[in-house]
Amino acid sequence: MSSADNIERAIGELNLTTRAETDKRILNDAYAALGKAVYKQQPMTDTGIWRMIVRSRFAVPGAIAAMILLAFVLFVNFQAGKAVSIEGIYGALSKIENIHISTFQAGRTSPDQQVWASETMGVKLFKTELGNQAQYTLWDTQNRVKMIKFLSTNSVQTVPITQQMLAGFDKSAPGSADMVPFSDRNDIPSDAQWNRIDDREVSAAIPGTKAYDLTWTAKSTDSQAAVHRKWRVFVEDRTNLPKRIEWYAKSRPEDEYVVERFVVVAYPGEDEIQNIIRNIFGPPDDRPDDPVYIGTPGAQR
Amino acid sequence: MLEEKRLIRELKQGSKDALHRIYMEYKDNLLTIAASMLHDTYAAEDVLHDVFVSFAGSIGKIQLRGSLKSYLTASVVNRVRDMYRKKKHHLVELEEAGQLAGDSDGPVRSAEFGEDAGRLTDALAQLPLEQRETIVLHLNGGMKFKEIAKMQRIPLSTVQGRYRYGLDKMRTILKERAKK
Repeated sequence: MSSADNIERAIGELNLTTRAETDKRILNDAYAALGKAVYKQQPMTDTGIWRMIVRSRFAVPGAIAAMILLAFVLFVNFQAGKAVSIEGIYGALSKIENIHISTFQAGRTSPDQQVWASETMGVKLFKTELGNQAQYTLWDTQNRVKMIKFLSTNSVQTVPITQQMLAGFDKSAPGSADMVPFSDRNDIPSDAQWNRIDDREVSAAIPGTKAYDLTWTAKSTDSQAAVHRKWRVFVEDRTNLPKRIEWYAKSRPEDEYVVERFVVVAYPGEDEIQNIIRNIFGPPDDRPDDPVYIGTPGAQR
Repeated sequence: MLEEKRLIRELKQGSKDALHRIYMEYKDNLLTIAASMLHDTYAAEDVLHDVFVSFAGSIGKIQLRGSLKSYLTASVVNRVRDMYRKKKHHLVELEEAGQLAGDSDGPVRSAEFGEDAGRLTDALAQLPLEQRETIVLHLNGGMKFKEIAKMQRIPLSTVQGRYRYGLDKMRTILKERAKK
């Protein structure tokens, strides 16, 4: 280095080349990782017997006939309004990546809590209202930061998320407590009843959906008395995903169910959630006191 | 410029050729960035390994919002930080680097950079990690200050400050060494 003034140019010209054995080691391990990743995401239609049938030139006419038959069966089932099982709903919910849940107390027209969650972005945004106080709380688990915006003062508080906080943070399906009556479908009591509601007036309340009731008896947490519960869900025909959920309870079998709260569910895109966060907390560059960026994009943590 | 979208699409279908092309395109630059930051070429190779294995292994989940180069560069930087945080790497912080810089048997394989460049990386190693990172990302990674600020989620002025202070300190270090 002859002159200290040429530092920028000299640093820019730094160049290392990997060794051949390094290339071999990295590529071999990366190929193996790629193979596993692609195998995991392989759709069922491209494996096993289905693939053998489709790829066999002798079986092409048969496969076409089978596809026509399958399409016909699907059409007939669609026309008949095939019932959705509760397992089907749990299964559909387990695949979603982004969700917006608004929880209303009975008789209220504005939600007392809203949750936006994106599994792919690792964020969960809450809007809670207690009396005249409202606040947004953002858990950005990828960047390990929690931000709270107090709407009364328009101030923002930023807290780094520690490992301990992260461990305690609910990583399960976003807002699951308001979404499904049992976090594990195996916990559904064996005597619970699952019925589709035939009342057209009820089903028509949310267009494009069919309504179902799950009813069961539980013990009251304080008095241990029996409580009869009903979970009414409006399921979208096309996706098996809930669009609205109503929670009911009654003390005696002969009483009418009384609605306690209801939930409106939407499935926004990642961009929509990003925009909401940006509108509340500003663009990432302008956010105050952010901790340092940590974590590897795309890496599983 | 690689046809990134097409390569990523092929990669998601399991194309080894696409992975090979991406690796060959970026490996040297990423290695240089990691080695400049770590002051240790062996550790830099481990970083490169981890980044590409992780990249290939999570290809189904990857959604690029910027360029592939930015993504891989960010991955390298974050792996380096993870190394520091977890103290897996032999830390070359300011005080320690002061001793290592004058020690030709230090962890960096200076010969691979060349003699002058070896002095540069020695001087780089004496900077705080944040300054070193900013300098390396800008000069070796070809990233604009604005891009670095966005990636690190810090104000633009902070990035500019780190870059300026880092270079000033390097100049001082190199001048002092030239006098000896």
